[in-house]
Amino acid sequence: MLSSNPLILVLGLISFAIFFYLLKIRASKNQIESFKNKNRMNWSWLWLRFGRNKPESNIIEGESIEVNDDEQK
Amino acid sequence: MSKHAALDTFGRSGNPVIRSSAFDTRVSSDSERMTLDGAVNKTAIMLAILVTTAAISWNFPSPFMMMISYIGIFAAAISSVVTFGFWMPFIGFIINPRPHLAPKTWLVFAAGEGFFIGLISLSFETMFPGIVLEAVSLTFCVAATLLFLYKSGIVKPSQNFVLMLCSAIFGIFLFYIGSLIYSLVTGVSPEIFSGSSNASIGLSLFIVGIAALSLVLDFDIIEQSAEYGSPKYMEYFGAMALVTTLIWLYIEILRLLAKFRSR
Repeated sequence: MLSSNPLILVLGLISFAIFFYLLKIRASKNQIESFKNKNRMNWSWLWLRFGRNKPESNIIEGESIEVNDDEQK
Repeated sequence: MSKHAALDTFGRSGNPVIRSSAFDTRVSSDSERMTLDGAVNKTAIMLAILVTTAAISWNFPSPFMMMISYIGIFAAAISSVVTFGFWMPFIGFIINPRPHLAPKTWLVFAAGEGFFIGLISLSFETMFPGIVLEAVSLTFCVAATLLFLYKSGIVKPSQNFVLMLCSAIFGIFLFYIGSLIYSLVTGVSPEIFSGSSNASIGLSLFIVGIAALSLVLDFDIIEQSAEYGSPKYMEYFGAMALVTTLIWLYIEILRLLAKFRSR
């Protein structure tokens, strides 16, 4: 199994470390800002569509109180 | 009383139904939000489980293990279709992706795929000693390079890029199905699929290229999900997507190296 080219193996080990290091860090500002572009792929539909973590309801909950202007006067 | 009481109460819009949060893609509280670290940890755990089950099937090859690996790949295929859905060009999703199921399917997926990968790797290693470690090394070389290109902002997947890539992936999927049917009917796999001719190597290079570009989509899903504060289950979904593509890339590189060696 270890009879392969040692140069490729060393390259693989370095790449493995670089891969996990890069995966942990945030993308560049250039990439993050491109998320707002119109023709840029937006993946938010994946989590906005299903599951219990649906977007919050935009209707404000609570009781409405009727204000009578005549009584205030 | 302030003249802007309505503005103070409801924000910019006077209509309480249209608050500014209506257009916010952040959907969960801080404790339930996805993080980059979480996705990386899940990817590492999935790869560890996959390598463990692959090592089991590698070290104990038997007809029983072969049966386990076939059951494993079948279970992994079902769990991936349930989680990722099934997409066709011009039609769209036939089975919708359900990322919220990823926390339930990831373990079956990783373990099942591992058993199968172990057996495939063993058969290639028996024919061409040393090929497996080379393929693993080259897979991470390609993945690290594309991740660098993505993180630095050199590669930005647009909608057209995703559409073209998904069409190419679907074409390759049809090619795999066609090759499988051909080999079932004739008993021999087609020359262009498993041969070592120039056309076969060219096709393998094309498939490796498409698999490598697919990694960009996985990085993009993980990065956007973390950036928009998506729900926690997207950590599992992103990790599953990334591991699937890494495995696809690994198998294609393995086949490509085997073709080069058998010339």
